[in-house]
Amino acid sequence: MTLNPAFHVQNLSVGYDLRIIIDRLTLSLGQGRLTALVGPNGCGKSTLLKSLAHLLTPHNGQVELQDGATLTGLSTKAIARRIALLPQTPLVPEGIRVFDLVAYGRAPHLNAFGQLREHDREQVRLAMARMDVTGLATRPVSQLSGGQRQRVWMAMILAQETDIVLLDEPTTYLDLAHQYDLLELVRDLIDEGRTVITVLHDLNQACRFADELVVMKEGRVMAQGKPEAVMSEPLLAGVFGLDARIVPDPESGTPLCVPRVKRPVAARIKAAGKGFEFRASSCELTAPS
Amino acid sequence: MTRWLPMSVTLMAILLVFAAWHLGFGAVNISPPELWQTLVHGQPDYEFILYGYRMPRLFIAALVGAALALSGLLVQGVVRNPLASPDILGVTGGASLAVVGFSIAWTGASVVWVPFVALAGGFASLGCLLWLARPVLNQPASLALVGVALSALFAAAIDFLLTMYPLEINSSLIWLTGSVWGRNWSHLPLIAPWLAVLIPVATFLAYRLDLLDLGDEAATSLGTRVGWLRLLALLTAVALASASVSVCGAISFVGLVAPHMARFLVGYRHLPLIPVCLLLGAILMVSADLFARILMPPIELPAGIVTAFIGAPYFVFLITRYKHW
Repeated sequence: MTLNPAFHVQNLSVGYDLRIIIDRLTLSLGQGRLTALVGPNGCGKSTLLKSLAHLLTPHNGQVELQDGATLTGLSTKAIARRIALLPQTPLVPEGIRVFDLVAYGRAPHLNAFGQLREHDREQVRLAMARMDVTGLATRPVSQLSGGQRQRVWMAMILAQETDIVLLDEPTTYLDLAHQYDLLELVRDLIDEGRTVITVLHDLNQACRFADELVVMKEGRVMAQGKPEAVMSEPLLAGVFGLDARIVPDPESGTPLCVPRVKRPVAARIKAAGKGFEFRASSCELTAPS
Repeated sequence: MTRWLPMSVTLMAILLVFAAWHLGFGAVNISPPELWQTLVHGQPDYEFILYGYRMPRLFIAALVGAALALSGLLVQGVVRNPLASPDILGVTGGASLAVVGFSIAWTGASVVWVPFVALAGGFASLGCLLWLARPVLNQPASLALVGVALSALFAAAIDFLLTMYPLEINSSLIWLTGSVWGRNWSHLPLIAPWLAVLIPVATFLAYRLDLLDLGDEAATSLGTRVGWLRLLALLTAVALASASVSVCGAISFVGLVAPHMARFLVGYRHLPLIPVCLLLGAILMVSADLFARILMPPIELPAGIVTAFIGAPYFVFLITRYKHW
């Protein structure tokens, strides 16, 4: 018998107002692993993520944690001590500094007036060091770049000291290099023994970094398992409506999804090739010898 | 963060200066030394004017200003919109409408009922607001828009009543613009207990309101019960606004301007904002009442007109400066 799952979702129906997004969903999400929720827009992956943090109250069914407690049976604060969630677009209070924002992560551990004790300060410092934002501690968050800002939010989540971390499209608004930096950081959290469940848009990133994929469409789980086992050309066609090949990622060996070309591109490549040669030669000219 | 203490002390000093000016100036001018003699050494010459007229008026102006400012701070914290204020949520309008309706329906009724009618009107309008806005309660901007519509409706209803029953309007009109004129010690119990109870409540909500600044989802996942917080903060704000309307009528702009000035001085945290905001509201209201009396003597303008004079240009400034829509 393996470990209990981090989440056991039973017969869950949830939605906004009267619109049901997820209808009678049952699934288990593994403990100590990185699970990526993927699927086309509007498939219910963000809704599922929010249900896991009890941001949405289920119409029906329940979400059970590892120790058998259900989310509906726990107080908001008790949930916040066990599960941290980074929303897709959290708001930055005007004028707030990095340290103070990260310190908000301690909120579920504090009294009503939010006074930090020495232990809390220590946790905030650790989280900032972990996300490499210690040097920014006194800077206003509004002045940071997108990449720095996302690391600050991640530090806030870490300061919350929870076993489970939920991320809603954490790579949106980041350039490619910062996307990979962030995903490496997320991998580090797994190595520390935490459970991370994240919504991801990029299938190739999901395949490379996640231990398990949950592929969703129209509020239902279409496939769940290791990326190698789940990713297939029929699945891409059926779920995403995408005509693509799956080849091994030359770096990691994980599945890499390459959409098929729809019109001949030979002529364009030729033209681009010329341009590239031209630029390459001009680089050579300007390069210091 | 630690700036709030020296800031509060400074503001307290400014308030005392205005208070002394307020006490000394009027139909009979009392010089500062004479004021000192009367207050500290019990000299009887001006005792009647001071304790009978000006002192209660000063206290009521200060408390009403403080209540409105705190109410505005809470509303802005909940709605997360810098243009929000108790007037915009329709609370002031609802309370005013209730009083106008009451004074027309029971022409002979004693004025002692007015404050209670205003309170009832304020809470009834909050009830209307929450009921009308129930599908959009988690969208603060929409909540504010419903409030704007509601206050327009109340304003129209007030105008309708005033045109239909022109004979009864005189005292209503003065009361509607907001005035501290003729207020005495008997009005103090109508506002002071509210502040005594609701300032601690606001203090208790302060840190949670800080978290709410991160957005509903982040606040919830940090352990805040957003729905309850919003309701409790709104109820507190409405109680404060209705209480001040019940004493002085509709005083505009104090609830809007004071929280902004306070944020400018001490930043975004609600806990230090509360004392600074209270003091600023008191200063605004005391000085408004003072200027209302000294601008064109012997005519006394209602203080509400003066606050509107200060507040309206600031409102325009705010709209041009604010870029986060």
